[in-house]
Amino acid sequence: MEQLLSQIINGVQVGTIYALIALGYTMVYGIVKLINFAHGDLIMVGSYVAYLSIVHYQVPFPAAFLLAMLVCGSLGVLMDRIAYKPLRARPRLYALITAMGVSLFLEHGARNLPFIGPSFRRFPDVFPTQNYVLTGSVTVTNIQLFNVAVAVALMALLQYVIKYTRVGMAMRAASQDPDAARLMGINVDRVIATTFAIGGMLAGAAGVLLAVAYPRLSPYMGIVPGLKAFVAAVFGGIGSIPGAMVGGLIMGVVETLATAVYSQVAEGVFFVILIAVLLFRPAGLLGQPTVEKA
Amino acid sequence: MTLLELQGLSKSFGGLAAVRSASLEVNTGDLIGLIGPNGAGKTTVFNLISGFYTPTSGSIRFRGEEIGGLKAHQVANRGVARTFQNIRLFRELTILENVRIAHHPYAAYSLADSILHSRRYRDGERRLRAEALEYLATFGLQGRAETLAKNLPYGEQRRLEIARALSTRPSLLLLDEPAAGMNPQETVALMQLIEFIRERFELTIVLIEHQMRVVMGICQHILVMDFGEIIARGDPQEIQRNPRVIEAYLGQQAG
Repeated sequence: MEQLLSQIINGVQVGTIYALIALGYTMVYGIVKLINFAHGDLIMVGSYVAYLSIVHYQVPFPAAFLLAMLVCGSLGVLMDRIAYKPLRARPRLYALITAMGVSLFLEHGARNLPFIGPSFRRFPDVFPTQNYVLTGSVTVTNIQLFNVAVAVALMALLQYVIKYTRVGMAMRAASQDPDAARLMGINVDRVIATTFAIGGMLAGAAGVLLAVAYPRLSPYMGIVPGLKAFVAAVFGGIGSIPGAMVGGLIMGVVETLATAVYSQVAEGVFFVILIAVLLFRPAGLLGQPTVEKA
Repeated sequence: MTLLELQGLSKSFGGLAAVRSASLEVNTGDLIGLIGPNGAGKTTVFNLISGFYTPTSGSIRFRGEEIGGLKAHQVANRGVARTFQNIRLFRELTILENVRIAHHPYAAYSLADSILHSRRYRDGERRLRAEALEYLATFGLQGRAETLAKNLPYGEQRRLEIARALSTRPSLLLLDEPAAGMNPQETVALMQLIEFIRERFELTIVLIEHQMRVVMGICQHILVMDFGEIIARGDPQEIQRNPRVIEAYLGQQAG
């Protein structure tokens, strides 16, 4: 029982990070119907930005955190501008394949930069680990608390922006009907750029949180969490923001529990659940069934 | 005063000419009917004016400025609004949100303003909200501001779409078959409403209608399109007597 509780705490920590990443996938998909396969690599970029600024420039951690978000947000916009926007009017497959190309470019680009790759880097300890005992042998670390708190705060902020601000309203409108949004005088290209910026910032934040929890950095470190977050987004219902949050959280908890029981099959378990959900709810847990427009 | 002027406007898709050398002038305050059989090119003209299509040739001048080839949001910001033949509301947004979404200069506070709830944000929002509620009241939708648009009955969705178009504060309103799918009584009520908003909001209106008699009642001036060309123009009496118009419509019935 106590072990179960500890594992759930671990799972929640990973899950909230997955949720942050999944939000980027789902928001971009919601508005341009593109699975941005390069999204996961922003995690890597984020953690390296924080790493380099802390280790080489002695930037304090909070500033490094914000810097990582800003760089990743800008990189998200740049990605769209250079690689995806020119292909907007083309069949969706073009942009999808381009996204894979962007992903490889980022990974191998990073690997070839002397101050990044190819060897692993260790993320510095930003604060000394402390354990708090909850009950019996169940403990929670200050890092876990920090990660979950930051992730939840970012998600709450996002939810506020989406629900109550003009930008958020424009994002929702543009994802429902871009043409009608244009008629309202909304610059849909700018809304799309904003979406990439927000998605990138969340991925950057996720990258730093991940590095704080698992301090081993490599140019390929974004691939696996990116893939899992993508699966979590599909599980929650791609295009649905609450879906991405719930999907990420469930993904993290299930994965951690499965690892604790039998680590060999851990990563398979979630996919089994994913397949089961998609069989009965093809649009995902919270997704809206869509009718393909001709 | 000329508000909108089309000159030799053409649009072709591949080899197919959807609009052929259309010319027309719309004066401020006009209520003009654009009629014609299915596939005559009426909606294409709207798509050209509102910036969804780029003209193949010809010019579109709005308030003396060439707007042909501008992007749709730029045209909208210059004061042209439209509705669609098939309703295109933001279905997952509330009714109030649908009429608050329009981009306005004084809603130009930053994201930081809105997160910090600055004074600029609160004032801007308060004005926008009051205005949005007025649009809803005009269209008899005031009691349901928080309902999702998709949950409205059909006739009210049509009205909401017009209210949403008005919320961009246009000077020119393009209505694409606003009465489609309505019964005769609803149609009459809608036409009266269109007359009313034209005066209340000082609008110039061009409306597409498929059925001739619907527009006869309210439009002083009617244009008839067939096969991409404007084949007749005039007041309702002239149009009803025009042999080319009769042919276009009877021809369609015979076929």
